[in-house]
Amino acid sequence: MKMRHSHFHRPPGRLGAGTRITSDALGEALSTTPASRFKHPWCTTAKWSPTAKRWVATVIPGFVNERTPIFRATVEEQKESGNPWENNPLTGRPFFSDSVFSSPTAERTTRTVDLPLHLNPAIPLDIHGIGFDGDPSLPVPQFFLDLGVAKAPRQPSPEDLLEGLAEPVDPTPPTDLRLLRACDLWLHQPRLALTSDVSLQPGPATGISNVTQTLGVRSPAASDVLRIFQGTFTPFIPFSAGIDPLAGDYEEPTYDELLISTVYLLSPPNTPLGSMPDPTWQPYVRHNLFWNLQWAQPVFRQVTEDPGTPFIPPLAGGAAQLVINFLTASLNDTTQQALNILSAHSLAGNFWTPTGGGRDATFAAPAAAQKVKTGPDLKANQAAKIAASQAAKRIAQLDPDFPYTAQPFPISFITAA
Amino acid sequence: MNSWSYPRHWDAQPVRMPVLTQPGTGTRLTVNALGHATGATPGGATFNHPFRPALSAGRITFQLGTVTSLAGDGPMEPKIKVNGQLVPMSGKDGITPAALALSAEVANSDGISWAAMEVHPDDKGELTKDAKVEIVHTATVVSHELDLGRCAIAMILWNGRTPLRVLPIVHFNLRYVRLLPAPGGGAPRHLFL
Repeated sequence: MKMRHSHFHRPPGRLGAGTRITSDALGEALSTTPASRFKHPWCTTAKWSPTAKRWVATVIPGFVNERTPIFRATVEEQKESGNPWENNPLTGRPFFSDSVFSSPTAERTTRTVDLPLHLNPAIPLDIHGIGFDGDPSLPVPQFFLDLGVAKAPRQPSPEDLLEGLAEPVDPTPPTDLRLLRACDLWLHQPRLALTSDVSLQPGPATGISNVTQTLGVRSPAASDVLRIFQGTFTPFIPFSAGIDPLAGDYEEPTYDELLISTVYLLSPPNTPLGSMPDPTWQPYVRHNLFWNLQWAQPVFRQVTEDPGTPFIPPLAGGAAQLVINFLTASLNDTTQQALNILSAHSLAGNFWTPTGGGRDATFAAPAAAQKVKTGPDLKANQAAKIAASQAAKRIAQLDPDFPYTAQPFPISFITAA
Repeated sequence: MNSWSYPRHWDAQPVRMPVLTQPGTGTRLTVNALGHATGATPGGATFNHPFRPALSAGRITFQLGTVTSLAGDGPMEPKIKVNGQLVPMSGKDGITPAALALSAEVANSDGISWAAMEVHPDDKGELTKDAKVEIVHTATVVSHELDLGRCAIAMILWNGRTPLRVLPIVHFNLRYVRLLPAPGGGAPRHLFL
């Protein structure tokens, strides 16, 4: 028996909320208007630009204090990037209608424009390889390993091979291998920077050295503004190993930087090694920022715990300067003391998200789950299960679920005041 | 005689075969032995967050947001000046939000202005229950005065004398703290965390 369609004898349907019906010679079509979905600040979208023949990204405007960062590009780059430049909402005129854009070609290729994020500039991506044919030092997220990406093979050292401690790794790509490329987008906030100059004067007979450390402040370049960079992000780690404050003048960078997002491009299976991404590659984005930010940097001032007797000498040109004298008996003490002073006076700024309190919606397993001694603690065990489940989910996905995570407020701002 | 089992638009005589509604934008059609179904992928939920701005007819209304002093009182609801009178941002009746009137003269040369929350702390830097907390339209969102803190709530983009677009800056209720300058100078800092 042949079944008839259920709508044969049904009265005509009515349109529900958010739907519309259109008729033409081919019949009727039912369409919906999807509800507008909340996209968080800094939400990054990657797309292929057919005109520029490369992948570009756009970023939902995010704020640092009251401003959106700019993206600095040449006129030619922006025209090539294929952004749908129509009318500039701020002027009502077409984009690139200003006289600068009709300048000679040579000038267009070199002259830069600062495009704030709220004008939706297309950011051309300079990608780097990770995974099987990429940089072995860069980690591959589990998300992509699950999709067929393989880690770069690490060949054992010749010594290990010679002594038979390791077997050579087969460099043949696995079947259905997918390649991975990435590009970071990060925030660049110019700021004042700390400078330090240490002079060491050995004592005459006691073996105790008199150390004079002069701290100063350096301004960023006038052209440096709150902006977005793209490429390979290398976070600055203050006072990391290798810094010798006694070896010469020490200077902090005149900027703070924070990763916004990483755009990943995933190839189809069995793409030849070393291929450049084309429109057949699939874009993914992992975000580090989800909310607008506040930013501030510490005030340059004397820290009361400092040793010695600091004094502020007459200033030239309004530049702040702080001279600290202290005595030490060994070079190691001197180095550590100078580093401590640098750390205490660092002008490194902090970003935070004004959430009113809290920065993470992750369910934390109570410590009691690990300390149950007498009988099962059902609540604690249940909490531990939820936390473990959330942790496993976080590993397998690129972004955390809403309400995401936020940058913590630097408590040192309050405690140091 | 052809073997077509469904109607064609050039067929001369009308047929009584039913024609299914076609899937349009955002919908998909599933047909099986039980009949047919039209489905759509649900859109994501919107986030009706505190201080969410809505621009309409040269005015901005906001979703209710609050500010709490770090060690003082709170949460406090900011007020908006309407016809010279300060009204709670959620409105006199708590149902119709008060609208912040925008003035084109406020916008800076880049065509940008802000809706900012102004707080007036007491001598100890805390907001008490009687403290003035107001949302204003301004081009100056930073304050170094001792008894006035400002926090940008939304950015307004202008085209000449017409406000075009408003971008939210704050997504959560706020907490306020004032930091006094250290010995040796400097200005007070008003932080929202």
